[in-house]
Amino acid sequence: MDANLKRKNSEELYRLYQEGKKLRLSNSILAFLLLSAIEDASNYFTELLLSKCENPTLMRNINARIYNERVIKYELFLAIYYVIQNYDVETIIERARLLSSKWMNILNNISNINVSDEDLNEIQTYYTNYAEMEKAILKLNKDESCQILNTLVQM
Amino acid sequence: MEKHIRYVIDGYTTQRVEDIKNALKSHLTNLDDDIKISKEGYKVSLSFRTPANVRVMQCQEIDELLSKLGVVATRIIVSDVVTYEYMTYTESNKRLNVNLLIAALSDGKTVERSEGIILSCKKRDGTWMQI
Repeated sequence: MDANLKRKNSEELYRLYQEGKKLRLSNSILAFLLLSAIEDASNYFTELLLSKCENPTLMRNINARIYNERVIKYELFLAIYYVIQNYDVETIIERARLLSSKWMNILNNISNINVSDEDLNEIQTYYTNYAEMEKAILKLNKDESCQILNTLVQM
Repeated sequence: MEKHIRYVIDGYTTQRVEDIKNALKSHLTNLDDDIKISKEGYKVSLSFRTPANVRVMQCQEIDELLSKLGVVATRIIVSDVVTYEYMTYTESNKRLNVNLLIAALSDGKTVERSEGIILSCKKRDGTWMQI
């Protein structure tokens, strides 16, 4: 899969979210768009790591194990976010787990859940740190990328 | 720093998680308590480890063992892993702290880092293929 395509998808979804906000679409639809944008951002980060690591066995196993697991994608995205903020390890684990299950709950009940403005803004805040996260991942070397993927494939 | 061999297996089962865990422990005596099993519907993922100096089981062998436990395996990944205590330190520049990220993703104060996949296979048309 192509990293740039994932990046483009994520940005398009965020653009749709912004358009949707102007059109005053319901919060649950906006949350769906934002969470989909985050999912594709996480896919994009994984693709970046895969292109740096260049290990075909890892690539096949990541593709098979991670691509259907939304919760892992959110956990990865959130973990990268909190690591950049330099939180301590326990806090990162706790928050990433709590928030990813909250987001999964929103997605699983999208047609009969009321997403509050606070929750929507919270999701948006995470997405808007995307560029900084991308920059940090782009700086990683081959070994570091492989180490992260090796951990991911066992989640 | 301790070394282990970790097995990660995806498959299907109608058995209960606790029953699989107990049966696994009685069939493989060299496992430690680090056994993770998650089940959603009939889909199951198992993860366990043996000491590093023990022979690596092959896919067919793992498959036969798991079928005794009522698990139909579809994918197996075997990796060398090392565990170490995570030490907190702050990095001054804006580089991503990979150690912290791995610690967070591998779920605890004792970090398990994979040194790489040593064996991975998938069942296709009834036979195990290395991937």
